Amino acid sequence: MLPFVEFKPNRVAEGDPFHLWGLGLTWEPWLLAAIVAAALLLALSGEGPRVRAAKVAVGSALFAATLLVALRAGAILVTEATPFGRVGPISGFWIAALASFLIVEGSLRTASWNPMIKGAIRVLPLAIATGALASGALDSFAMVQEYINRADRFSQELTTHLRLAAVAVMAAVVIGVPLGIVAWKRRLLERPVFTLVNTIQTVPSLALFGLMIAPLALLSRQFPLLRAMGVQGIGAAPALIALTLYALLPIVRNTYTSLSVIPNAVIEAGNGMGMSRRQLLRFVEAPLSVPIILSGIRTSVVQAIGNTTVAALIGAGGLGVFVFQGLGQAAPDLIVMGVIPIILLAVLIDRGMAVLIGLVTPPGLRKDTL
Amino acid sequence: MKRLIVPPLLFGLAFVVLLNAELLEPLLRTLFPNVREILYARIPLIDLFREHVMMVLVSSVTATVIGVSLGVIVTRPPGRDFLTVVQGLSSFAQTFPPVAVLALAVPAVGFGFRPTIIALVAYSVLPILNNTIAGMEAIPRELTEASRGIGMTPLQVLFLSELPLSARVIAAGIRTSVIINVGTATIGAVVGAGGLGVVIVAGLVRDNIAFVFSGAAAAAVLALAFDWLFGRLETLFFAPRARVSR
Repeated sequence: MLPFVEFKPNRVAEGDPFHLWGLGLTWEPWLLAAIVAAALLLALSGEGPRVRAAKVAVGSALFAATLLVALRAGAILVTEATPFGRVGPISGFWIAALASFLIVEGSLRTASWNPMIKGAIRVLPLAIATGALASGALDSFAMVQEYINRADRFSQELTTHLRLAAVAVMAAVVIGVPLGIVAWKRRLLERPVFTLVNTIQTVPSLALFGLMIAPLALLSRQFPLLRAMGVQGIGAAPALIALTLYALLPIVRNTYTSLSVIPNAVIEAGNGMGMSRRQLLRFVEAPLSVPIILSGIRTSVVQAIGNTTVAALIGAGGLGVFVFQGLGQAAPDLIVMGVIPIILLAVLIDRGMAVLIGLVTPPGLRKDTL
Repeated sequence: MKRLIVPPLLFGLAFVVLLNAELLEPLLRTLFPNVREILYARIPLIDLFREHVMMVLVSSVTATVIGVSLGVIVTRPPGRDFLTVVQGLSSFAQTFPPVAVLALAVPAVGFGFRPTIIALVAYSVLPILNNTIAGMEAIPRELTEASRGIGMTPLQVLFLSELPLSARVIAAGIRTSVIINVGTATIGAVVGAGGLGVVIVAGLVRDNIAFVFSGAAAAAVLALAFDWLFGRLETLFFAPRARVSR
């Protein structure tokens, strides 16, 4: 068995690994073992709707039990004698959590249940973890301590992160959609437009941020007005420009595609029914193309969340601040504390957009986008 | 013909100027007259460039081997049970930002070259795996049946019929992951992996625009050159089929 949690007497000390049965817990390890046994048994017992439901239940239980053991371990290891002590989940914990995810997700994928129920099952572990966090039961965890020490800063950087990504994507929509339309309407411009947005997307994000600095620093020196507006070589201005440029490709590409997939026959049918130009746009073209454009925006937002992390390196703020601070101080807990919300943001926004796209897609065209 | 000669000349010229201290210095002096320390003196740019290319090659080759093999396994009868799960997981994992994967590799294996390679491989397997599966699934059943019909063994069907037919899609996946790797390797400098990011990060830390510019320009040209190369290879190996257009 792999070590499950580690205990550190303080922030910089090396952790002591603890095995599941070395924690002095009574029944909890047995519960976990029983669930694992049940999971193995289920893995061997064929297929079918009942087995699938059982797998989902066992997988969810595995996650809950894993979290419970970690909680209990925290309560036992961190006592009044060690006020700076902290526990961190290590290999055993992460493998159990991953296994639970694989079991649940693996059986949900093939299940033909109501999407609402599926969604609820997927959100459940997140809700449990959030509940545990809010109740203070996780306070002895290393990353939670890193968070508690910076709670104010955290919400501030989270807001910055979301704002940077959101503004950049909105700007990219404003520029990208017309650009996609133009590329479609004017054949001559198709190649230059795509070469341009492709080239931008090929440049490494850190390099693009870096290349923004010099010209903006120059502009800021030359024009006091810009400087007064906060335009500088480093900070939010170069980050926003680079993020916007980066977000263009998926939006331009999908706008273009959305126009090219509308069959001429459909437009003609609309014309034949006596639709006005407006009605054609409202009832034929928009319903067909909006979902495709939205899925371009989906790609852009998810990418922007990731790229905004890098923007912290040029002083734009955002959750990347914690990640790079953690890397700089060689503090793994701080790294994890910064990375987890970034991943959660990316995943949640991706799912949310998928739901939205599903809603705006005409019923006749719906596929399972989740 | 023009498209075959001009880009390599431009890329070559850019590399020669950016990686050669004697040529780079006057350029940076004209661009940034106010910067005192104009050249990153600690490590020659050419060495960082070599490190960068090594990182990308090692991780992309590894990721290609893993991604294509995995894709082949889950499209064979014994592995088919896992197809939907693997497909779902790998597209799910692709929503993770590459930087996040890179940062998480540090608590797992420590600083340096190793975590970067691990993170690069872990992330860049995904597009290759996805495209391998997509390529295999797009082959009409009749074609593989026909291959079997003329007496090919399963291995022959795989290597003589299925892989060649899906090569185009797989190659597109490899191209995507190489470009992602060039970008993520740049950030690898933060975790001590070396590469061109070193100069950029040093420039950001010391507020030196010239450093930032020289590293960023070299990394950008490297990514564009890789992209161009793959584009060329694609048109070279896969018959210049009519471009799918309106």
